[in-house]
Amino acid sequence: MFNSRLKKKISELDSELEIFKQRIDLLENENNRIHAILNSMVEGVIAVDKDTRVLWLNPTAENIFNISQKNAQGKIFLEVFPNNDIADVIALVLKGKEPVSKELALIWPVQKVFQVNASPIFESKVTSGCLLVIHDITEIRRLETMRRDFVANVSHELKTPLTSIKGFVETLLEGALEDKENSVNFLKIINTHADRLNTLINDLLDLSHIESKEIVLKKDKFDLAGLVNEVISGFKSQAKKKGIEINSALPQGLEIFADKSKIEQVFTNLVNNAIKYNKENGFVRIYSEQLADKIKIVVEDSGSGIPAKDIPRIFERFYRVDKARSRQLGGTGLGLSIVKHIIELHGGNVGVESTEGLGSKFWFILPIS
Amino acid sequence: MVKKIMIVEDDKDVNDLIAYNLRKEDFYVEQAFDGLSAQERIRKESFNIVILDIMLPGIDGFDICKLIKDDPRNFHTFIIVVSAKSHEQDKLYAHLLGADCYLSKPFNLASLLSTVREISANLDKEFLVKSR
Repeated sequence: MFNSRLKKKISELDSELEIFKQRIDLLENENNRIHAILNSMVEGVIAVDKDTRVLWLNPTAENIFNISQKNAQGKIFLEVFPNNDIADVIALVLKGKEPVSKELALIWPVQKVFQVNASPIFESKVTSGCLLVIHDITEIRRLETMRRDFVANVSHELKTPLTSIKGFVETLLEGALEDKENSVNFLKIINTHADRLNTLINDLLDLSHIESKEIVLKKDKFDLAGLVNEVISGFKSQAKKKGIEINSALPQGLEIFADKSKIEQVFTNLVNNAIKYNKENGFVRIYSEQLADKIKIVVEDSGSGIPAKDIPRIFERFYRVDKARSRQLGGTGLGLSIVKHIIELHGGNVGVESTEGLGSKFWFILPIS
Repeated sequence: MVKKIMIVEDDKDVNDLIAYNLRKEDFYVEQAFDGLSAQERIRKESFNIVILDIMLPGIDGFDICKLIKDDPRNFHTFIIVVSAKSHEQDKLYAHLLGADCYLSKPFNLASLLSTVREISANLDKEFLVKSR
């Protein structure tokens, strides 16, 4: 009798144990799933208890703040993340029991911009902690600033020639047409500025085309020396005016696989600069150096050179060493930027070596095949 | 009284354009094409009107504006800013530094000239009152 009751109890316990085991498995699986989600999130996640002690953080949060879970766990938030703005957000959530969303700029330990979403954690209707989801929006903000600067730059570049055109037309209409000596000169100035507007718009369109993701390079095998000779002959009269000699020492039969019209634009922009910023009776030399599976092309000039402080920024859009001089020479400030983009599209890179007063060597490296 | 006007503008064509139109109206005009040479001239001499661009190589227009207004000799100098910077904050900053008028590029030549004429007429009136 006792035995049978015992047996029944044991079997009941067994089945209960089975149910518990299943429940534990279920919970474990769920826990693993949540961990997998948290671990793979691009946002940083930090959980703190009601005393702001760190309970847990995911790998992204570890990366953002450069701290490990092991070192942070159990410590007061401000001790491990010395940032008052985030601590204020946590305090607000713990007190107000409402989610808070805020954009915060961090200077230390890293200079970044974050979107912080903080929500309270409830345990039987009592706030027991706070969960922070931190989204790094530094790159988004940086791109926005870049776009704003670009628009400001473009509008300034468009307004400059427009100011001259409008002013001289007004002057002519106000009676300067009778001023025979000056009126022709004024018309010439208007013409120059209209040309400049046109060049600027073309360069902008080129740049936006090259920068767009959809661009498809029409790659082909072609003779580099032949292309360079064509470009040089296009600059003959411009070079002659300043007495500049242009030489190409590229070996005959040097073939590369690239988009011919784009590479032509690279040479056109580099040779154009080399002539424009050269001294009277100077020279422009184009030569190559064979590297393992690449080719380095150098366009050297005997011009005024580039001050060392300007070299790191010379390939930036609208960056000019001497703004007034560039304008006077009809530059748009986009030529080198276009060169850089084209070469990078081909998997190559660009650079410059220059000594002030002695000249510059603009180079680019392209893969041969 | 012939008014002395200084044009500070790095774009040669725009500078020449303003100078041409003002000389035609018998103003005495001096031209500066960068901040540094403008600074030199302004330190030596006082002008009735300064027409000033903001984005200049070297020293910018805001600095020149401050330089003029910091000198008590230039108490009566009128500053007309002509700039492609058209943000409200730039205008406000220029006014805070003592600019009297702000024209955005591309500016209307007629309104620049009428502003100069108006200032000049007021200077004449002041002169008459003082000399009485």
